[in-house]
Amino acid sequence: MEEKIDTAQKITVKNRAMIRINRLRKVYKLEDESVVALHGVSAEIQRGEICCIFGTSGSGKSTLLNHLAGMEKPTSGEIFMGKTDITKLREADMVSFRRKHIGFIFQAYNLLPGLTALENVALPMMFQGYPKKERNKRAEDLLKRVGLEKRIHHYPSQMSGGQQQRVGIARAFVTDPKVVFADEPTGNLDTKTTAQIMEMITEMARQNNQTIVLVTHDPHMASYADRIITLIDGKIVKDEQKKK
Amino acid sequence: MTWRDILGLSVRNLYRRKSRTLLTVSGVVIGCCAVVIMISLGIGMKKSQEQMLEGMGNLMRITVTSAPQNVAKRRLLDKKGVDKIRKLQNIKAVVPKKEMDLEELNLIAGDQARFQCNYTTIVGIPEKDLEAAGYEIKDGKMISGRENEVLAGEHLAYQFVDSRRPDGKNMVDYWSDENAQPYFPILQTPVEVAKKEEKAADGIQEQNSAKASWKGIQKLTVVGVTKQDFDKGDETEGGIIMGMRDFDRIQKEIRKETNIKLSREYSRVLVDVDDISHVDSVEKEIKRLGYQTSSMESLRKPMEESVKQKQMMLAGLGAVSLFVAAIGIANTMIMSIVERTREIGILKALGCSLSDIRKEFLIEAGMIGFIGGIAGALVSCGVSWIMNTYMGSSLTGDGLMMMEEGTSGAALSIIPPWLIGAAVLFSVIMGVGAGFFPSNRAVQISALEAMKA
Ligand SMILES: Nc1ncnc2c1ncn2[C@@H]1O[C@H](COP(=O)(O)OP(=O)(O)OP(=O)(O)O)[C@@H](O)[C@H]1O
Ligand SMILES: [Mg+2]
Repeated sequence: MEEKIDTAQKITVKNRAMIRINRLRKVYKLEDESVVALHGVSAEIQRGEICCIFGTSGSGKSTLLNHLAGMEKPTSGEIFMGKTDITKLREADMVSFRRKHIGFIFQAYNLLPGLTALENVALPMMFQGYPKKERNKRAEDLLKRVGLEKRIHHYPSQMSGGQQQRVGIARAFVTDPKVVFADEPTGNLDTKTTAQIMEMITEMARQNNQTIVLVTHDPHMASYADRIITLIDGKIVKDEQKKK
Repeated sequence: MTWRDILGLSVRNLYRRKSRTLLTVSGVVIGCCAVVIMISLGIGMKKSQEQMLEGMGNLMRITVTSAPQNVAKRRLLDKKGVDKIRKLQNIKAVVPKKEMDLEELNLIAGDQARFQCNYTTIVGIPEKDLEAAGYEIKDGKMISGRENEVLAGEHLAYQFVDSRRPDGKNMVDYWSDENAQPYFPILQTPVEVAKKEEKAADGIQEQNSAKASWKGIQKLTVVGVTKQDFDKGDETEGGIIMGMRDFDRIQKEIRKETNIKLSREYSRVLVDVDDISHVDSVEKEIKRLGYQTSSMESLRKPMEESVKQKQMMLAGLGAVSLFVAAIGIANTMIMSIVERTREIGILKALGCSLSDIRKEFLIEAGMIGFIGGIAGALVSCGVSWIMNTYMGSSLTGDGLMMMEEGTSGAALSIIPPWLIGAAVLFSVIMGVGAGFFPSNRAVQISALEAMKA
């Protein structure tokens, strides 16, 4: 099976893969046992692809995503984003790589409680050193696009979960990143809101041809994706491509 | 991130945890206040000590006299000796003086020796050193070098008794009456050193007679009156100052009439040192030459040392409280970081650079120091004012000097502007320093913290 993917890889190199995962292996060494969370995962994700990582609990979805976002170092294997092997980056460089190229949507929203919706959305631009005026204008635009024009100056504690996650989406897209990662972005939301949120994310991504890597265990959500990679016990068991 | 943005985030974070920030700040206020007050007390002490010493006389002056007879290495304090002293390092001026008390001789002036002064001291100074002696002329002029020209002390004229007035009313009371004038203008009146001729036969008659018989020894011309200055010598008060040539000659004349002893030695040599820090070493040198010395040093040094000791003690007390405040800041920062572990993870996941995270925490800690420092400085000024107003004068009054309490004008606590600046600056540095370890910890928090549910 790995061989098969390897050949597929050679073909798609020409297509300028956005993310190329090569034999990624992660072993967690505990006191008396070791847990193999990723079992030599290889895959390529194209620019503009909305890719869903699907699987049951404990299958290694989050582990894979965290590696893609450079928050964890693999036991072996490589992850290329563009031409950069992010597994080789030092932490400080990884942080700045994320700042420039990556957006994040969290399951727990992770808005900073001390900042308003607007400030939360503008935060990644602040990290990039944009002046206040410019970043607030852009943040306001994005908040309007996620339908929160009335909540611009509200604090996270004053908003519902769905609203908070919309702020989270606006924040993820504010810097126009090449890739947006999302780990169970609707895990805490009801079905109706989930649909809203998923539509919002896919719509935003399609507008700018951005790549989305989405983790979920909900088969219904997978229907929003172009491609579904199914993991079981740290191995890719299925890689379905839907026709656009 | 721009500095402004980092600063903004820091302020918000401090503001969000108002009560904790306030408690930590108040720790710094107390610490800062303690240090400032302690130092201000030290400064007050030092100041009042300085004032006291100033009142005591010239601190850079060493008075050299010949050693007592029983000192083995004793040397004559003569011209040769003085020349040796002049060659020492760090000396500004050397003024040798010969002194002679008039004992049974008198000074007389006026018609038929109407005005009489029966006690005074004559001081001789080598002509070339007269300038270095630094006498201030209050009236008249300096000795020009003509024979028998002398300077009179400021109050010499008042020492004269008017023999034509009754006892008890025959002197001018210049102590209690500021506008008092002497009986005669000393600058225009010839003065004579004279000996009272006692004739046993006319003894009874003589007592009431203004026409007692006087044997003149030496006529003097007072050309100037010196301003009283005990630093320059007691003679500026009620003595007579003259060139050494005149002095030696007059001494010989007087010798013929009395048994005042002649000496080649100077009675004292005043040595002015160029800096207060050299007094000790110069004094030792002079002692080594075989003379006896005295200066304020023996008084000043232990005083200074005791003040220094007290200052150290006070500063130590202050430093302890400041140290406690620093621990407080570090503790608050660590707590805040533990509390914000997730938040820091989010910052990292969103791409906030490590140096910006570090800066944010350092600034937070520094701001606690800054606010505490400013408030502390203000509180200190208040406390200082209260102490000065209600607690009286400086701590040095405690038996170091025999001065009455309150006579030294220095305040108990003095806060110079630099102390305020230093306190604020130091508090900021302390805050940043205390924030250093916590901020390192913050930077080490993993971005994965953001992913935990
Ligand atoms: N830090 C860790 N130390 C040890 N084992 C870990 C660690 N993180 C994950 N694992 C293990 O790796 C495997 C994959 O975990 P992961 O969190 O990726 O699962 P998941 O697919 O995201 O599950 P879920 O849907 O419940 O979130 C699990 O067996 C888990 O116990
Ligand atoms: Mg997971």
